[in-house]
Amino acid sequence: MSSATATVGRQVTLMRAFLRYGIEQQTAYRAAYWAHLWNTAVKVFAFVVVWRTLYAVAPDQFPVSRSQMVAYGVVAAITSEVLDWWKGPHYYIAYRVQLGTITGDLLRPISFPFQLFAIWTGESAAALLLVGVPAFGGAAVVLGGAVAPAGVLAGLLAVLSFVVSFAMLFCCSFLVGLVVLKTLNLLGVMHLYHGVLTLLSGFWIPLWFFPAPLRLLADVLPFRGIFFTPLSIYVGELTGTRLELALLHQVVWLGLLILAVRWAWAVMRRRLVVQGG
Amino acid sequence: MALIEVRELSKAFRVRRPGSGARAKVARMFHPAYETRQAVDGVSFDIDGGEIVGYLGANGAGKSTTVKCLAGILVPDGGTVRVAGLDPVRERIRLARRIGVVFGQKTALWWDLPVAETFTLLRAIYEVPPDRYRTTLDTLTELLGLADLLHIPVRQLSLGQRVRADLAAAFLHGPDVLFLDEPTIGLDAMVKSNVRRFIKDIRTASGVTVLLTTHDLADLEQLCDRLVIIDRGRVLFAGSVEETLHRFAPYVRVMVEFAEDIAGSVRVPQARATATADGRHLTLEVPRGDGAAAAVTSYLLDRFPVRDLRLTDPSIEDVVRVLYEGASGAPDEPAHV
Ligand SMILES: Nc1ncnc2c1ncn2[C@@H]1O[C@H](COP(=O)(O)OP(=O)(O)OP(=O)(O)O)[C@@H](O)[C@H]1O
Ligand SMILES: [Mg+2]
Repeated sequence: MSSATATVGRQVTLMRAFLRYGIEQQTAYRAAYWAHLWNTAVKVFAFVVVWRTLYAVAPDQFPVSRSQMVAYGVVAAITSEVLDWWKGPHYYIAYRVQLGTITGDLLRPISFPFQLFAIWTGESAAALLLVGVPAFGGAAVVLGGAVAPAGVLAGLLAVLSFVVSFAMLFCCSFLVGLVVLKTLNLLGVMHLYHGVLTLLSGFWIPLWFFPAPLRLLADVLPFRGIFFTPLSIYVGELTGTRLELALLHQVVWLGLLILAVRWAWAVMRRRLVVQGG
Repeated sequence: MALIEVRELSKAFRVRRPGSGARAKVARMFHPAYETRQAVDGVSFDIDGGEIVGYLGANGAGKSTTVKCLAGILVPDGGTVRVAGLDPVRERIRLARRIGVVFGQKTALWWDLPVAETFTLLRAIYEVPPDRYRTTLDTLTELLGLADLLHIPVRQLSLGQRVRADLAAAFLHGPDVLFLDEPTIGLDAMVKSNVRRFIKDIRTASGVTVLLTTHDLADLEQLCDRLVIIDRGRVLFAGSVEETLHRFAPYVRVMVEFAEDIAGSVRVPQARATATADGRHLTLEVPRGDGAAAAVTSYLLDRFPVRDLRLTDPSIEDVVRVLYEGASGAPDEPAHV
């Protein structure tokens, strides 16, 4: 029991340290911070304009109301900026491998995947505080109640679902990062991964609009759990049994992905090559 | 039992061989050809607790690769390694708490983090108790002169400042073993001597064991109790610094430039000429100790119109070359131009 408390205490200390790291990282370059905030605002604006326009053209094509669709777009734009998923753990691994500074990470007394997870959690939490909250506040001021979740429960479940989605995204990016260790080249794999994620996660286009075969594929694969599931819960489109199944889909995939991460790291570790003397 | 035990360690890298010529290069994209490069080839040595051991060899000899295997960063192909009784591969995380590692050429710190923030993060990662952390940090700040650097992000540090921060970071958790891979590379004389003093002091104070790679003979002379010399992945020689220098580099170099051409007229007792570019320049090897260098210098200054005279230590490259060629290097005949 007390050892469990000690372990939890240790994780809390670590996470707090990495949160500070994230805040340092987010504020290290002043211009980059303001650009990040500005990008987020532009993206939110673009999503809102696009969905409003499409809604005006063909309202009967949407399974949700206009304000639900706006909320979907706003939260999608903000969360994706907060997660910075195109520069996630895979990017970090590639960067550190290419410079050879990956040695620094391997010297620490924590498992490598967990360390990356802690770093990324710290960065994302800092981005949530420094970019996500102001951006959402701004959107709420401009758009009013349209950006609010469908209800208190929907909001809470969406947060829960986002937590799972965060871990899923980490695992996927980590696995992509390991491909870099093998090929020592990120760009090709990265473009493919980003394409797949943009399309199949529902971050840009909700899966409602997919043609049947593509929808089937997207439903089975893990990626919809990353944006589509939490966002659909947030706007209240997913409820009842469908919601439970969607959460189950997320959790099962997360379990599989964690196993995959462990296995892949155990294998790749033996082949790790450190560039440079 | 030795604190570090290395037996028949070997590690090869598989590298893609690019074709020569554009066509072959494109073809290799489809059918890659590989070759293996044996970086470490059956290395064995022991290091006892509290020793400072210099690990040296020419560029590409396999020093850094060995260090990476000992630190658990690379997985060896063969042989066994024990550091503080632990297997670096299977017990990497436990080992990480007991070792500190510095690679002079690249930092193990986080680029955008101020030095102080880096230390705070390391404290959390290594779970250093707060009071011990304070005293260690104070000592390190003092010994390495870090007080003015603490608020600066790592990316803005100069090389010498960064190496000092790296050294402090490697020692913050009180490791039993330090692996230092060229910690003095590219540092100015002042910082070099600070770093050396730091290593010496920290060893005296904490009894830490140090494995040090370097190309600087002065590092070895001032710091190391013992040397292990490798070449092309194999151990060539292991022994004390005195033994090594005595055997393989028992001389000091005297480089003289004369004010006028004095071809054919110089004879210097106790010295051996190694290189004579022309009638104005002369390089002599003079035996170490017994005041031979002083005797030769004053001999030259007394008898010849000397414009410039410099004394240098033989470099580690010389030692390695001598070792590799198996030459004895003892001065035999007097030098003359
Ligand atoms: N990542 C790598 N991929 C391929 N070959 C490598 C790699 N790292 C090292 N090598 C090769 O292994 C050999 C030993 O390299 P190592 O870095 O251990 O040398 P070193 O003794 O540290 O040299 P230096 O004094 O230049 O630092 C070299 O021939 C080098 O080319
Ligand atoms: Mg090296």
